[in-house]
Amino acid sequence: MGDKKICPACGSEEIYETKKTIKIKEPFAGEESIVITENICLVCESKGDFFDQNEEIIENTIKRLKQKSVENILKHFIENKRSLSSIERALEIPQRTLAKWKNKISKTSAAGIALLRFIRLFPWLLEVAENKYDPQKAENIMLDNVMQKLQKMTSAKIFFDTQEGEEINAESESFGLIREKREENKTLSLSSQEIA
Amino acid sequence: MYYKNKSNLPSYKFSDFKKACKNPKEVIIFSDAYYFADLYFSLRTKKQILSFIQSDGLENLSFLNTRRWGKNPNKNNPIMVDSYEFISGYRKGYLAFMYNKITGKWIIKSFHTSKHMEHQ
Repeated sequence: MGDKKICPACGSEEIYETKKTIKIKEPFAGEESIVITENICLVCESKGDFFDQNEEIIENTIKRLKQKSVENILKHFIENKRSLSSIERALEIPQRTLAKWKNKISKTSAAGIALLRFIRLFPWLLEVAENKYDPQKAENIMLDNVMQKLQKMTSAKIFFDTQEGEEINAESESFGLIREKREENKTLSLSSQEIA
Repeated sequence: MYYKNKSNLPSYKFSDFKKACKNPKEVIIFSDAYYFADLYFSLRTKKQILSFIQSDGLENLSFLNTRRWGKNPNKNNPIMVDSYEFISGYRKGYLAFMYNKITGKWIIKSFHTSKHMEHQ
């Protein structure tokens, strides 16, 4: 076929090239608009990037936004008085790893980015890690978080002293169920510690 | 490359298509397929889509049908489109591709969630 540009689907030479703007989004990084090329075959109406003109610009934009997302997430923790060193300790990752990611000294892996997103969305996961991923404690941490959220969402006032386990005022059955589950988990966790 | 065409058999060997996915120059992805691969499967670049196919990301792959490509302007070179369903995580997907022996290119025509999906 030589150097002639032809439609890969039907072989026609009647190809029209158009530019279009698309948005690339990344969680915690916002979005960026880029201009890409779209080839349209005037004969079979196929549309696509027939000559691989867009791959690099799309990849570079995603890479840039992912780095921005890492920086934003780490900045969020610092601004909320959670040190990077304490996060590294809880997650058992080498000290200074997060600082290196933030300052672009080393590249954040795809796994690292996924991890950061999860702890940004659910910061209580750090507490789960601090408690060595004990299943019962993890469930209690999650339930505490749920109760706090429900408390904010509803007008029900629940006073729950997490240290003494005293319930002062409960207004719904679901809170009662959550409380029961927490107590059950506490017992299971204590039993497994005794066996150990 | 081709199966002797019986109505219940694919027109192409899937292994040939999968092998072609190792080389991005051999495969073209239509714009709609590209868009929905990102939207439903978080496959955002051509490299990611082809790597996913090539690395057996299409689980429980099942052949649906093979049909003539309706928009083919060249009646002397009939082109068949093979369609498959697959599973990935909680999603049921649909993949359709074809091959033009004159241009030597595989084309991914469709890549989206299945119309027959049970999940979501």
